[in-house]
Amino acid sequence: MTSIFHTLNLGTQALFANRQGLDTAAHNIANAQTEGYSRQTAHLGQRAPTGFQGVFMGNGVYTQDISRSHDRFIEKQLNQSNASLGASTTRDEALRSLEGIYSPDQSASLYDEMSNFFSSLHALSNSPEDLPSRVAVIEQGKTLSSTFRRVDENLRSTRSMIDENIDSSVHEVNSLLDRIASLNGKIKGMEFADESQANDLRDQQDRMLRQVSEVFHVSYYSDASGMMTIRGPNETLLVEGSRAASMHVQRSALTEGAYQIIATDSGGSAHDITDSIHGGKIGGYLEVRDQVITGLIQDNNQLAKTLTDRFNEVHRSGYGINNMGAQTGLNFFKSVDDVDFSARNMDLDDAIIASTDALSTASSPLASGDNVNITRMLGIQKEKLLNEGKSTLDGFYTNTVGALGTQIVKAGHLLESDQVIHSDVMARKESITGVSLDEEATNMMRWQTSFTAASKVIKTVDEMLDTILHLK
Amino acid sequence: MRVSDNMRFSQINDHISKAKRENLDALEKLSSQKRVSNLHDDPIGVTKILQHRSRLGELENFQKNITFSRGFLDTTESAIAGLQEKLARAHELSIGMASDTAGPEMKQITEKEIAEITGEVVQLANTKFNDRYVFSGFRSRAPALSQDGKYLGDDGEIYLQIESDSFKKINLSGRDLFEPSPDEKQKGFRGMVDTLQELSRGLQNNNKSQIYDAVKNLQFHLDRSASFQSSVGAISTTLDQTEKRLEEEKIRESSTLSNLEDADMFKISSDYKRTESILQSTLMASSKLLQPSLFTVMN
Repeated sequence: MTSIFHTLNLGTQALFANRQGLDTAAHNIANAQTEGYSRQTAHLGQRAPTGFQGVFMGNGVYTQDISRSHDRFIEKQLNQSNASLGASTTRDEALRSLEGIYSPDQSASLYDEMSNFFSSLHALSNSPEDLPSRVAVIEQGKTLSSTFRRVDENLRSTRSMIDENIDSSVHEVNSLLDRIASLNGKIKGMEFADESQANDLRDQQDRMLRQVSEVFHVSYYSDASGMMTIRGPNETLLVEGSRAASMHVQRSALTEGAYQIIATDSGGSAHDITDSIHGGKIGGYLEVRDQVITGLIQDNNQLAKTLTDRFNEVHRSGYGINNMGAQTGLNFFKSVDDVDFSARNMDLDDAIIASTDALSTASSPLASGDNVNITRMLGIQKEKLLNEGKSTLDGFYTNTVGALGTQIVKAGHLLESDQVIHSDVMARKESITGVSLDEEATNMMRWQTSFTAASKVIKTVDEMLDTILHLK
Repeated sequence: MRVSDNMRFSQINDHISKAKRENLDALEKLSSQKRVSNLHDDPIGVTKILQHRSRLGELENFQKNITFSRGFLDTTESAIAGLQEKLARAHELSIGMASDTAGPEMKQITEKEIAEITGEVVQLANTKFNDRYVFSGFRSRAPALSQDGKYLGDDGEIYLQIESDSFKKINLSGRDLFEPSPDEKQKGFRGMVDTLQELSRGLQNNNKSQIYDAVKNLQFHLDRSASFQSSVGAISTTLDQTEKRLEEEKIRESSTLSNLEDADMFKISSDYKRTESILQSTLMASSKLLQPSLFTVMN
């Protein structure tokens, strides 16, 4: 037989459990806007009954567990879509910063400057001995050279901007990995003492992991003790237990000083992981840096080299006028042997800068009105000098621009579809983990009602005690 | 499906930002009046625009070349007309002087006029266009004839591009105009100035055979310059036809370019209106959607 205090105890337990339920609802409401917060639910459990004279008497209620609503599968999907979205965001952003160099609205684009240069030659072919026309050709030649240099410089500065961004992303990952590792330690400590999970710490850890996967693709798993192990590109161990790897960038000796990413894993050995990084912000940046920009720099150099060499070849076959009337074999552009420096070092030959008479317009010596060599120079425009005799100078440039444009459009589409996928996964995750205030309002009412009922039990016991004490 | 509060907020945010972005795009097109202003608007279109722009530039260059050629040819033509006039006058005088009716004094007086004409012929031969001697070939800085009628130019032929694959020779050979070819020399023909000087000598010396010779030579030069004039005319006609063609192509190119590049006014303004009303209704719906909550109706 249980005493009346057992009934009182039942009431107290109910008060306590329902208050914990209300606490959980309040915690949910408080964190409704917290990023990465997973809604928590208090699960009540019945205490084991006591058998007495063939009857099992209930022993009341206790809070069995406070769990978080969480789906590991969706979390994995989210991390994957984070990596894709990160990559398509930075790819789109980096490509768009290149767009300005080649957009048709920029009237001083390389294409326009090439046309202007050849137009000035057209004007000169009308009057080859005319000083203003000769000066115009030389000035346009200077502008064309500086445009080639500017394109080269813009491409290189975009590349170093990307490098800076990679550097800051690497720093971000370092600090995230450190925090994840230290959370590993804390979670282990807390969950060791208790059966249930450290919900809020796990939420934090998940949120940081999502930020890491936004920077590059990682694989991970949690072991029985709740510790998360993260492997990065090329299976590099990034977090193991409470130890984290550290990453840094260094200038490569090979690819013109572009950044390489070095990871020193928790065991202390360093690996170059640059080429094995896929997805994420860094993945997107690397793609644009190593595939697109490198190609554009090469194209620009090749165009500069072809124009310089062919133009010089024609120019050398001609003669100057006046004082230079007997002079032949002069270059118009400075000759640059290394194709990798053709655009960067493009300039007019010193002889041309020194005297307008050196401009070799004539096909025969001492013939100032001879425009035959100008006609030959104009012919270069139509010559198929590039792509193994398939493209003219103009054609080569428009091919480059068209290909870049298509890549930008493609990057835009990819970004859009990744955004759709991401928001879909986010919605599914939110649907499970997100806080609904309406739901919490109902929960509050539920706990409140139970709380009120439990207090009524206590009041009833009180009255019963009163009844007993007043027995006479 | 459970709907959490964050889902509602982020969905509303997504919708509003999408509506705003589309509205902004439409506004940009409306204000620039361009269908393509960035590479990503239409990459293939951009390469076509570049090609058509460069073709237009090329056509304009050809037109400039034609304008220059025409000036050059007009100058040449009027110089030849002047030469013809002078030669005709000399011819007329020489025929008069070839008869016995003209006495020695008359011949002396006529000789003065012939000397005058000789000077004028040299001057016409050294006609300049834009500071270039038109009859000197490539040696355009040097006069075509010296004072005593020697040809100082060369045989350079000046070609200008007037169409993609067509070059036109715009200068006439001064050597052919002023000097007889070796063959003709053998047949006894003289150069233009030489002829006039021979006439002068004939008149001074009252030498009939010299005057006869000059008459024959002057006729030869009159014929030659007439044929030169007609070839100038032929070149001019070609230029006119080419220019007409270029002009037509230019109109075609401009309209193609405009089709590629320019926005359809009606379409972009209706696009703008459409995106604007989408934005408005999204905002309205969102403000309604955000209000209800169990908490607000609980008490």
